[in-house]
Amino acid sequence: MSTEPVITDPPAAADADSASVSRGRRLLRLLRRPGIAFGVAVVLFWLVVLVTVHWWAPYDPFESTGKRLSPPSGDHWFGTDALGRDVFTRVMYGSRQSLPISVAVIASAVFIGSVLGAAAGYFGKWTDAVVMRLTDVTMAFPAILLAMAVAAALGPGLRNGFIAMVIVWWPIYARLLRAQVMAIKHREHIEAAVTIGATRGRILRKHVLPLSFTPVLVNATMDLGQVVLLTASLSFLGLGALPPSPEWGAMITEGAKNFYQWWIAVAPGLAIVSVVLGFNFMGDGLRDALDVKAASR
Amino acid sequence: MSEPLLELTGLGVDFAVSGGTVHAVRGVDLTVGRGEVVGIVGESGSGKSATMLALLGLLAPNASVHGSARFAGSEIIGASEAKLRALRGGRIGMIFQDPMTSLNPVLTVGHQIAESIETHQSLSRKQTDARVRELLDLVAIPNAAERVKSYPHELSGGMRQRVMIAIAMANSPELIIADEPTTALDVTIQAQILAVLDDLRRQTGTAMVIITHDLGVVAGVADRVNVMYAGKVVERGTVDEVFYGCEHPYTRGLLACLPRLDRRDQDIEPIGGAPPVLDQLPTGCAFAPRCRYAEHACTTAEPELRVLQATAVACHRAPVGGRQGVAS
Amino acid sequence: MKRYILGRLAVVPFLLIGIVTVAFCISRLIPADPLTSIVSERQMGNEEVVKAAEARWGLDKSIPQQYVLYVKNLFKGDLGTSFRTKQSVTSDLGERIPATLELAIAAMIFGGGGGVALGALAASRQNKPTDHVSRVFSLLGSSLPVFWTGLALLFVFYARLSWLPGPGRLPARTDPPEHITGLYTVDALLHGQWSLFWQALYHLILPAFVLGWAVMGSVSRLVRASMLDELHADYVRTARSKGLRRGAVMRGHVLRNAMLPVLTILGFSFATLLTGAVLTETIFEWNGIGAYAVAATRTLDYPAINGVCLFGGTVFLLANLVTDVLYAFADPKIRLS
Repeated sequence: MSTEPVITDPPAAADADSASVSRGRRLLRLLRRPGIAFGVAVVLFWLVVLVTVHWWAPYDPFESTGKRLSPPSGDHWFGTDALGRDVFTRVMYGSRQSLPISVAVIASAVFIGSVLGAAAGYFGKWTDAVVMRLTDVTMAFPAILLAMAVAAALGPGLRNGFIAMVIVWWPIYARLLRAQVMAIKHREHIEAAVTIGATRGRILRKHVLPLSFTPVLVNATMDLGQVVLLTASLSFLGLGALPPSPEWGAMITEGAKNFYQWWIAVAPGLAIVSVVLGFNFMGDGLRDALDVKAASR
Repeated sequence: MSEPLLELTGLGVDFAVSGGTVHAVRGVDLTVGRGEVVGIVGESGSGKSATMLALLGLLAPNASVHGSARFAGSEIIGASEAKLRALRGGRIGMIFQDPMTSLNPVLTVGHQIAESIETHQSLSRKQTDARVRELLDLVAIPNAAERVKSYPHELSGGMRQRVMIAIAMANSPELIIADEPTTALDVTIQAQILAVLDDLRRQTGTAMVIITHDLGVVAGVADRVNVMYAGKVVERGTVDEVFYGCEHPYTRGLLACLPRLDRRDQDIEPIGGAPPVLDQLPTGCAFAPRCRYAEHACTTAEPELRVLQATAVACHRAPVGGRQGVAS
Repeated sequence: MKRYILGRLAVVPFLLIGIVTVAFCISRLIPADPLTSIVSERQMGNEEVVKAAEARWGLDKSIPQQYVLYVKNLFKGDLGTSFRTKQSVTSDLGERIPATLELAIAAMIFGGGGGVALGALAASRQNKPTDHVSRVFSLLGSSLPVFWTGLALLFVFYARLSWLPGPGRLPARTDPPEHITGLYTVDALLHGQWSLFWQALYHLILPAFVLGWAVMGSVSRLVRASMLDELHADYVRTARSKGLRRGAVMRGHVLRNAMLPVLTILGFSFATLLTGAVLTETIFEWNGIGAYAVAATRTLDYPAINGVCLFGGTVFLLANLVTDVLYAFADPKIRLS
């Protein structure tokens, strides 16, 4: 019997359609979703603050203004802390700690994870075994305990916190990339590419990486928020940024010491919530829009 | 024909989608007599499945249905949910395309058949079990007593489709709607499933509507055939009339895709292009953009179904060049 | 299924060895001299004291020897002696596990149960206001720093409104119930001490809410996605075509399938809760594993750090194992293979 006669092939048609639109334009189109737009707006706000804060910050983040523990007022929107420093100024400067470190952590984790994961998926055999057992063992530890232990071992400070968090996050991307490579390896167009003698490097670059782009993007967006949280948590525990650095988690620790001067902890807390919520909304929206579930399963 | 079992008049289905309305079914008239087997043939997207799902209120919530559908004399479009529930599985059974995904993976097949019986009849546990086994025998599943405890993944594709048929037959319905019943199956299994359907019809006298893209499926089992294109019936007739005397260029294209031994004809070739996008239909005949016979009239007025020598055809140009190209 | 479960079990020893090794490595990587935290600085010059301390902790041996010693002791259930509390780590952990367990169970009831309910609600009202509210609520849950939420809620409900009790598991100067399970609520019930039970429960509300909220976020998002996936599945249409009521389709068909992936995250969440109580316990002065871990990292108490890491890793491992086994029972494709 015949197969479907005059084949309408909507997926193929859709592909052809979307291929003609550049990836950049497609990402721009995503901004029409309110969740994504909100997330992007929040993150952009903090980026602008990060770049420009030293031009307009009302006070110095490290110098006392002379008034200690004064509640919010016209002069000090979020009050002053135990050392008389302006909380608003410090919160704004805090973006220079949290954002760069979370981007650095995720970028490093994506890079290390991708290389190892792709290698594991591509070469298989013992490479695969070694990399996968490493991820198994790393992921067997709860993230915060692992980060705490590493940070404690290396000593406090943001640099060591960074190393600890990269150790926590790389296995996620290694697994993701490995799964992608394994899935793609057996697809027909790759097999075809192999038969026509394409090199492994070329196949990885041309076929594997573009297809891995979306799931990595969605995961990375969500994880950026989680890194901001973990950074703050480590600092809160005294294992991340050290005083007097205006890091949000460390500021909350100071706030906790002055429990009844509530304003000291409120502003840095809100800053963390807004950034993390921004990344989460972006990630959640992207996941819905790009429907990556199928790919990550 | 006295009172038909099912009579559709001007049935239409619209889907509200972002940025407009898709007119999936655009006024279908159709009758199915008691005990009759009617085929509905068309490409995917021609509205053939939507027509039948609309009957039972099984379309997605963004669909709106208009027109009329009378089942055994009473109107069912816009009927209450309770009334529709009584029809579904009770007087009208449905068989779907992919028996792998259409059966619930975490429930035994016995459970899934029994569920249909329990919904519509109050039988004792024992009677239900007996009926389940009887149904499995009816669709020729060996070892019925064993098979009831199986999960869908333990059965082959053909066996699963037999289970689907057993579910549809559970309450001895007057009508069975089979939506692409053989498409997901291997060629040899397809023939077996069609044989099962044909047997059922002979044994129980149930009427059937068989929806398919494959004229070959219809040839063996159907009495009459409706060819649908872009949400409309474009040609109808008995199986013989359609196979040997079709007039619509689209039907001819479909037939050309069917490998046949008794025809060596250069004139008929597969239809090029793709079906129209249903939210931006051309004016005039929807098939015109793909039709090699299209002329000016075809792009201005929409053709109505009219009876020619054998079949009823919705085409301005029919009969195109007489019987040319059709062996008879 | 036997093969499936045996397969899962076979990996356990390897992972355990991995966990033990990593925990050991981390604790021996500490560049600071752990001696300083045992021996007071004034005594560092006293060679005898230093020698005695080194011998006691096995610090005078080579790293591989320390490892062998460590694994040997582990088999006897000996995790070493905490520098800080001068007690065996095993008994330290044993004392604190019930507190964390009680908190984690309470948070799980709130977060897991609430998450499933919220997710199912959101799925059945897709793209309606209820869905959007639940999305914001659950995303908020995974965006809030628990140490900050804890502080804020304490400030509002304890310091300002006095509706809820302050930190701690029981009011000050209240004796806990006699030890049976170590969970105060359960022990109080077993002894029929009702007022004590209410006190313990009262103290659980805030920390359990704070900790559970984060879990609720991820659970409800997954339940929603999973239910929506299943709602569009072909077998749902089949079930409807049989004439089943909507409720019967939801309960008998959709939920059963949707719970499969949810099961996985529930198991995973419980492990996260149990170990992620670190921050919550710090804020609420909850004398559990989390607070112990924080104190240990601050004082470079490496036998204790080690013990906590081992505990965390093992809990993770067990939770995953239990989840896998439950999954095998729930999914006939695995159960029958």
